Amino acid sequence: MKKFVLVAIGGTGMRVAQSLVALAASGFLSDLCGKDAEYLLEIRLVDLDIVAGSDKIELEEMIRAVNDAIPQLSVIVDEDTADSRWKAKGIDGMMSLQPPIDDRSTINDLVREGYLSEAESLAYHALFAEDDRTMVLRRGCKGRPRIGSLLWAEHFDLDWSNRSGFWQSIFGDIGVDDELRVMFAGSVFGGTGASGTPTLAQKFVRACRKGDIGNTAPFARHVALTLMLPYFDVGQDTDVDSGLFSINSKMALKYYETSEILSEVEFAQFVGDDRRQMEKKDEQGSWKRVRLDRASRADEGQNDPSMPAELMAAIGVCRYFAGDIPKADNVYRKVYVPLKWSSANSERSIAPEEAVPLDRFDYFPVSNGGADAGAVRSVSDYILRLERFCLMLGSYYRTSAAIRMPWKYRPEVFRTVWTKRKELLDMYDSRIDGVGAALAFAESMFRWLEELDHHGMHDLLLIEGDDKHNTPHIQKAVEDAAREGSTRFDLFSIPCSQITTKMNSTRVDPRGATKYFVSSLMECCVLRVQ
Amino acid sequence: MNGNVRRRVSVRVISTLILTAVLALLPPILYHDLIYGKFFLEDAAKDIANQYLNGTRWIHLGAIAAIWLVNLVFFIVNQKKSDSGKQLISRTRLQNFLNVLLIVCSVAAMIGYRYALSSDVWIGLLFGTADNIKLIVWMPYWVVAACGLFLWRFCMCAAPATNCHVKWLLAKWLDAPMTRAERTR
Repeated sequence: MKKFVLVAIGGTGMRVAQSLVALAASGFLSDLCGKDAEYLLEIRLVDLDIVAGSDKIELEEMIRAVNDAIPQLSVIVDEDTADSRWKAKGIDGMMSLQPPIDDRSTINDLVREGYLSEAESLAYHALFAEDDRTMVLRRGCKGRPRIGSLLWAEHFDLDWSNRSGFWQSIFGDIGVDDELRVMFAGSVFGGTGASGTPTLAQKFVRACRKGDIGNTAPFARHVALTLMLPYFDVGQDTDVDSGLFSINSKMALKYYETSEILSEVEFAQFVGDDRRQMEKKDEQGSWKRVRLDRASRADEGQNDPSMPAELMAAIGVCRYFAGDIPKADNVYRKVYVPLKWSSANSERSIAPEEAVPLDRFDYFPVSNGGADAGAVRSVSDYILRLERFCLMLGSYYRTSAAIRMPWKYRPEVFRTVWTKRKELLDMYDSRIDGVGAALAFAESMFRWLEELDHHGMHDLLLIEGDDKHNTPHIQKAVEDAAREGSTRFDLFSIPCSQITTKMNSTRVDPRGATKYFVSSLMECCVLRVQ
Repeated sequence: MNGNVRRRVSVRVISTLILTAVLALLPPILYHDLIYGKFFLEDAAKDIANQYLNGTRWIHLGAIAAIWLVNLVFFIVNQKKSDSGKQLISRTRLQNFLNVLLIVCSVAAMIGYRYALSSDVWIGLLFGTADNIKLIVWMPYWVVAACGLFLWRFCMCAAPATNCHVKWLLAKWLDAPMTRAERTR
């Protein structure tokens, strides 16, 4: 058996984890791992941010939505396509590592300055300005790695020896012969991630090798790093000074270059992108610049949108988990992958030639080393199948269920699944007799997709509308079509009519009809190459 | 799922085709002798009877074939579009209207043919005046209407495209197992 663990550190790590959850839910990781591969996927969260609405809370909600929906997503509805079906994967375990902080904790409270010696106190004051010392930690380190570095090393040592603690529980359900792959993901430019990622990864590798507690030495073999280079900006009026991102990154990279950490891990990926302003959709549905300052509401966490660079990193994480590491003659090699630039040889460190729209991810081959070469034909299809599914389940069929019309003119699949009833929408939305759990999953995935679309992937996802060309938002277009009962639109190379035709003839077990409905819809949303 | 779509479509198309063949060919054969026997024994009457029966047989066949064809076109369009709601309602209305129109036209074609054959008053001249004789001689009219009506309802209620509701109980009973997954899973 295999076990894959992503240790997501800080806000950026959380958002890389969100992309990993989405890719796993799309079946990408399962297909990459190969046919019949059994594996456990765990996400471990390391963050200080405890405020509701933060990236961490959003990730936890996303994982909950996927896991709740998994029973509905995993039914084999068609034996003929069982091998090539959408193998959605949930998250098998989740745990958080959190220093003991509360709503008002500052670094002063943790250090307990009164107990420091004079020399320690002087050093403390020299390294940490008044602003650092009084910053409330409940929203993370805010791009100040010096704060995080103080916390994580000590916290690791405290937790490592605890059998049921954050670190030892990773080994709880595997034997020494099983394959454990651990990926640490965080930013090199922020606060929590920049300090936690190298510190915790190095401490983990060394503690495993040392093997003080159990036979952990074999687990030090497959440890990797995902380090995010600056790829976003935040407003000027925030606590986070994004102007420092570049200098922070340079310093961090210098550290990686000179320290032993890179030689101690099996694989490291550095992912960056053009820096763009982050925007998040508010309750009214309009995009607002991400800002977080002292004027923010006390219950307002640091909740940033998902960005394409995080998706790229998650693709790399999946490839690492599946053992699909770039190599030549069985030797791992350094690869430079310019995803948004076309060049004669994309795998060499040469200057990019021409910018290309981010509408596909097939600039480099994705395979699982040849065992099932061809199982993954296109990364973009895994993303688009999620979008198709979200639109069909959350927009098309939901709108069809909501409108009042004679039953004989409703989509036939409704009759097969629910039989004739008055309040179809209530039934459709229900988590017990309807597809409520899958709807929550679809909403969560669509939020992720919409944020990617808004931040540079519109050429692929085509979600947002365009006033200039009078194009509506894709959800509105699909809902309008559903209101008419029309199927005259394509969902990224799959005609809607093709999906509804298959759904109208779907086979369901009356004992679990909704599971069959959801799983059938998933299968219909997979683009099968003819 | 594609396999199930094909299976359900095949069953519906084949059953409709068989019914069309039966409805188009069988009634004229069945009522031929009955009608022919009601005409007077004179050669002129028998000659007219032969022409009348021959003509109405072809009109009957053509009418049933036309109704089948119209419904087949709608079946294909429905199957291709697989839509619902307002779109399906308007298409179903058009389908109903065309079916009624075809049935009326087929009866009108038979009546027109009779007048084309001989514009004389046939009752009392070519066959008896009793009500039951009239009913039998004019049988091609109402048989074509009845067959057309039955075929139309069959196409729409028992063997519609898979995006439409199956209304006839027997058809529902036969169709239900095709949308039921095997319980062994």
